[in-house]
Amino acid sequence: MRNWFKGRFSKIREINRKYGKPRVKMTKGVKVALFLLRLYLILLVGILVLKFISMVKK
Amino acid sequence: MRAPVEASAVHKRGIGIVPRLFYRYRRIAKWLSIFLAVAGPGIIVMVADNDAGGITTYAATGARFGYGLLWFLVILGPAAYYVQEMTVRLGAVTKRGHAEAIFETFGKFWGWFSLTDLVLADWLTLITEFIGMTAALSIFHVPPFVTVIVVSIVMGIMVLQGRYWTWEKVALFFCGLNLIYIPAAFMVHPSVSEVLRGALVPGFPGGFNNNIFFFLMANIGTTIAPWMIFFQQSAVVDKGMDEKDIPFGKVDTFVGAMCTVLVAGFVIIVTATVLKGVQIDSAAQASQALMGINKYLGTFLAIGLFDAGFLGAICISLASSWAFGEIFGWAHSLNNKIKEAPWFYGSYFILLLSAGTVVLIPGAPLVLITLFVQVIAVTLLPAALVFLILLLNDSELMGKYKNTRAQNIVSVSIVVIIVLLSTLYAVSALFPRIFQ
Repeated sequence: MRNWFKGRFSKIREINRKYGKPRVKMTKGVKVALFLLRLYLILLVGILVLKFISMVKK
Repeated sequence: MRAPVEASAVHKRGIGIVPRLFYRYRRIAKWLSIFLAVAGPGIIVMVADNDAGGITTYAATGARFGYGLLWFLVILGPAAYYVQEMTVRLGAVTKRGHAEAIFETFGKFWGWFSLTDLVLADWLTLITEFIGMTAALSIFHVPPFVTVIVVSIVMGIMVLQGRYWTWEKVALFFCGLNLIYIPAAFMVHPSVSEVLRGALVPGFPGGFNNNIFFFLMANIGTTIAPWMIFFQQSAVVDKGMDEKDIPFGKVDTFVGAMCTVLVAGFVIIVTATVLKGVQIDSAAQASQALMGINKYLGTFLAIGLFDAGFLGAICISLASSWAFGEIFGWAHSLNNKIKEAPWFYGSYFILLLSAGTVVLIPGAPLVLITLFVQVIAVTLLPAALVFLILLLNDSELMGKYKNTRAQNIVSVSIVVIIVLLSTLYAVSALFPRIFQ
């Protein structure tokens, strides 16, 4: 079991190494798109937290 | 100078109408045979898009607004085509699935985010497909556990026979079964002129209000889903489609988009004609209501609902397994035997059986799950669409198949509208009174 988990984690480390550097050329358009995406996700997480708080309050 | 004229005359006289027609027939037959060989991923993903949740949405839309929102489907069909057509080009050119393309191009952060979100969204959606299938067969007094077991066995056999081609043909058969809503609509004798008016003249029955806005957003949410992007691109790769197959892949996707709109439209026609004004909460409830009016009609709707859930389930579970295989470097083709790709099939069955088991747990929060499906899908959809457009604009990756300016204008407009409306849909699902 321990070896199995060890194997999985080493695989994940290998994936992280393999895809460590993004291949995409960071043009202005790409930077803006990724920035907006990050903002959008933060907004969604905020909405989910708000929902969670309102459910707990009830 | 005379010779060419004579040759031209001979050419004109020599190839008469019969040989010319034969030549044309041969060309069409050849095109059709290639198309039939290439067709599959587009039709399957588009028809499977009308899954159990989708059928419920369309049934409720028809019962609530009659034929009045049919025109919206006419717009959604091309939008879905534009999005999915990009996955055909991306898959055929890069020979990589969407998950792998994201990891490689945008790095590990966005890669893990997309993979985790996809698996979670797929698993939750799979539960809703099982809810639809068990509800549909319960109309025929089939216990839910029997449905879950039989469906899991059939889906297991479909993938374990070891050939993508066979899986695809069986899936296409189930796609054909989805057309059952078309004869069902003819059975209720709708007013053709009213149907055409609803489909061709845009309008908002009862005026534009929160209610209608919610339904429009729900229809978008069911027509364009993140798993579709991942599924079709992986299917294109697994099928071994090449750059030369792209035109056929586009036609395949277009035919699928037409089928999706047709099926959705006919579901709306059925409930708009027979159940107008009835509050519909699920397609199974609509089937039961129709049973009271016409036994065959109710049966058709229940079979259609089961088929929709089944089609959704076979595609969604594969979308995740393909993505896992691409990232973890496992063998991940339906052409592999179970011994050659144990992790690929293992992840497929874990996802399938765990989702089926949840439906059988007494008191499981199925309503909450259905709600979260929408929210999780909305977190993934913008990312998947934005990455899709960025990848399609990468000249190094796509070469001459990259998006043109016109394609970018259309696809970016579609993506912005979809993201805005689907986000509002998720917010209104979480806080139902927010737009009131």
